[in-house]
Amino acid sequence: MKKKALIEVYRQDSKGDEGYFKEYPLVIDDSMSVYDVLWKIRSEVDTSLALPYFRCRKGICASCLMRINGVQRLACRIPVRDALSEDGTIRIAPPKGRPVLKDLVTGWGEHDGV
Amino acid sequence: MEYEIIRGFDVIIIGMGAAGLRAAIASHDAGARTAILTMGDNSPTQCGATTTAEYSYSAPLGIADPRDNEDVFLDDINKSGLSVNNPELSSLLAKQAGPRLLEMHSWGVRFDTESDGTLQQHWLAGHSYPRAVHFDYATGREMARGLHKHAVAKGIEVLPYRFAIDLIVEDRTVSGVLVLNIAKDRLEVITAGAVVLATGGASGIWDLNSNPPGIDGDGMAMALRAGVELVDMEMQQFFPACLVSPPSMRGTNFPFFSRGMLLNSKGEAFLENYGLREGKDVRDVLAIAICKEIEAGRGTENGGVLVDFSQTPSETLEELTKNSKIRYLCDLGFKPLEDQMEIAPSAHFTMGGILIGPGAETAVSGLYACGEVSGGCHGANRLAGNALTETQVFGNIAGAKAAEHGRCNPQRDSEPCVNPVDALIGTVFARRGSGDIQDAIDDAKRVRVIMDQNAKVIRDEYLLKTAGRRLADLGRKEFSFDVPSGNEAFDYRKIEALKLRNMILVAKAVVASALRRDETRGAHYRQDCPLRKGEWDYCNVAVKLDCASGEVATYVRQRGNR
Ligand SMILES: Cc1cc2nc3c(=O)[nH]c(=O)nc-3n(C[C@H](O)[C@H](O)[C@H](O)COP(=O)(O)OP(=O)(O)OC[C@H]3O[C@@H](n4cnc5c(N)ncnc54)[C@H](O)[C@@H]3O)c2cc1C
Repeated sequence: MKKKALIEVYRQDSKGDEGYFKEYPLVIDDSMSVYDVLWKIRSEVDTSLALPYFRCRKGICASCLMRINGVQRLACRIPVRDALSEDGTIRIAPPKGRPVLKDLVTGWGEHDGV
Repeated sequence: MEYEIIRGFDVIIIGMGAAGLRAAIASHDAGARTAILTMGDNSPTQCGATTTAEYSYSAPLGIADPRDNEDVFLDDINKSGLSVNNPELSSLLAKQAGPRLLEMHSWGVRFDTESDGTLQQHWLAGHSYPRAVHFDYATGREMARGLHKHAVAKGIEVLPYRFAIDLIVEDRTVSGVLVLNIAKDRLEVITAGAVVLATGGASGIWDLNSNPPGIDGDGMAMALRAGVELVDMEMQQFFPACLVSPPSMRGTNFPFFSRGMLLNSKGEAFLENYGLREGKDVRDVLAIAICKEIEAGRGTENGGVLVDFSQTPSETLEELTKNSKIRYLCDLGFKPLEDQMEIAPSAHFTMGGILIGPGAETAVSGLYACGEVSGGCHGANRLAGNALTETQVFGNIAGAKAAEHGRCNPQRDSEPCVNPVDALIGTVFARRGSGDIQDAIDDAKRVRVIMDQNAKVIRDEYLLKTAGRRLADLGRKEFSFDVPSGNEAFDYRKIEALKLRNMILVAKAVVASALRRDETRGAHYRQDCPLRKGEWDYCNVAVKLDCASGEVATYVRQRGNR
């Protein structure tokens, strides 16, 4: 089903910078995964959004681990209809405990090789 | 032109899948200072197709059936390779499959066991005996985890977020690699005495493919440009069943089809009409039958056929509900075991690749290749499980040989020759074409569509020539990419754009090879030459790049009946 949604996406320019949320109002198919929504934003709305490039397509690699409305989830494993809050928003932030390298791309702490 | 030089490695491994990890371990163990360079992060979670490999590593351990051994395994490989496979490489695969597995197991890579602690082995199509060793339906992920842990504990360095653009080659000797460091948005030259290509296959040049993003034949393109030949590029495996719908699931492979019935859009079972039995046949014949059924107009609107589990015994279904991928689909709101899912064959594994010898060596001194990027050991069709085996057998060989070469190559700490590096950078960046990054990304999509429409499972001269023409048109376009300035870190669109020239080159290699082999054999099906021809027995199509024209040329290599 097509739905109006407000996607709030965490943005951060580089490691150590202040982060902020950017809003993307969209009309989307609510059966899409949250991960696919992010890709849609990056390819069609805002090409400056940095996302993890890798994906396993089967919900096991955890490259897309994110905080979705405050809950740590795999973005590829949760459909929009389950993620939408009552007011029609989805807030997407990096996972806890992983340093942000840029936007939603996160490293592995001291040893993230950057 | 500006780039940072990173020195001091004897051996650089490009790619951190199972092949790259194994090569790094072998190289390190042979005393070489070794680093792995990868496009992904430095964790074991982004290890190419390896991370996504589901079920099996083939090893003739003889646990499940004591009649199994290396010779029977080799026989099976030869049967499915249909004389396209190089017997020398296949025999290494068969012989070393077991020892490499047990070594890996001793390092902490886990495999499912029977209650008495022995390794569990299951039967898969094309194998005479049960020899699939597995772990929790995520065998590749477990191999990546365990091998990565072992490698890092040994002190092997991982250089993440690096996209390899090209090899630096002079006088037919490799001295390093030019990379885009995506985390810094800077070019780097990493020098080494030897380089191992382990960048995986080329399935990403087809639109409907089962691989994770980024597996687009980069290593094959780099090798071609370095003067190395590819072999068997017409031999591409199409996995019989990948979801074609809903759009967000396109390309997710659906191996469970063999537990159900395949139905056409009229609800009729059709495999028998092609002389096949449900659940028993190998991939090449299944993919061809399904595509024929779709071409005959009995496919669904989305170009697929249906998987139906209504006749499947309830115990089987119960077992399937525990499967991690079935659970994943359920989480997303699908009912994969109740609704009929739409599937079609999708590009899955590249049997062809870089021409190597038994030491994983290429024609360029110091350059080695292993894993899916190399060609030769599978021939016309790869048996299930043999790809993960290939990564370990040939990763081990390549790493050891590269170490031997790299350690005594005095070139490793010298300045990279400025000319080839500048020339290389000049061919990729700062040209004045009309296309920008977005145009290149769009063209990459076009390459994939061309390959799906004209060079997929069902091929003929007309389709292939059309593909060739359309690829040539795309190849003529000039782009202007700025030299990375350091201001656009983690802009992965740059990688997608840089891949375009690789994709076009590898797609041309596939099309030219498929045109050359005017017969049907294994995965290569020519509807205009539907029979196998004796004159092609023990023959391989090789591809080289003509540097002057920039075009690929094919020739036939004859091995003689061995
Ligand atoms: C869905 C799926 C299921 C499968 N299941 C099985 C199975 O059950 N059994 C089996 O035997 N085989 C299976 N296969 C095949 C098998 O997984 C692969 O053939 C094998 O993992 C390839 O390993 P590799 O190390 O050669 O390459 P990959 O694992 O693909 O690794 C390639 C590496 O190179 C890196 N890379 C690529 N290009 C560049 C570049 N330009 N610069 C820097 N880095 C680069 C990638 O980031 C990655 O780290 C499966 C494949 C898929 C897609």
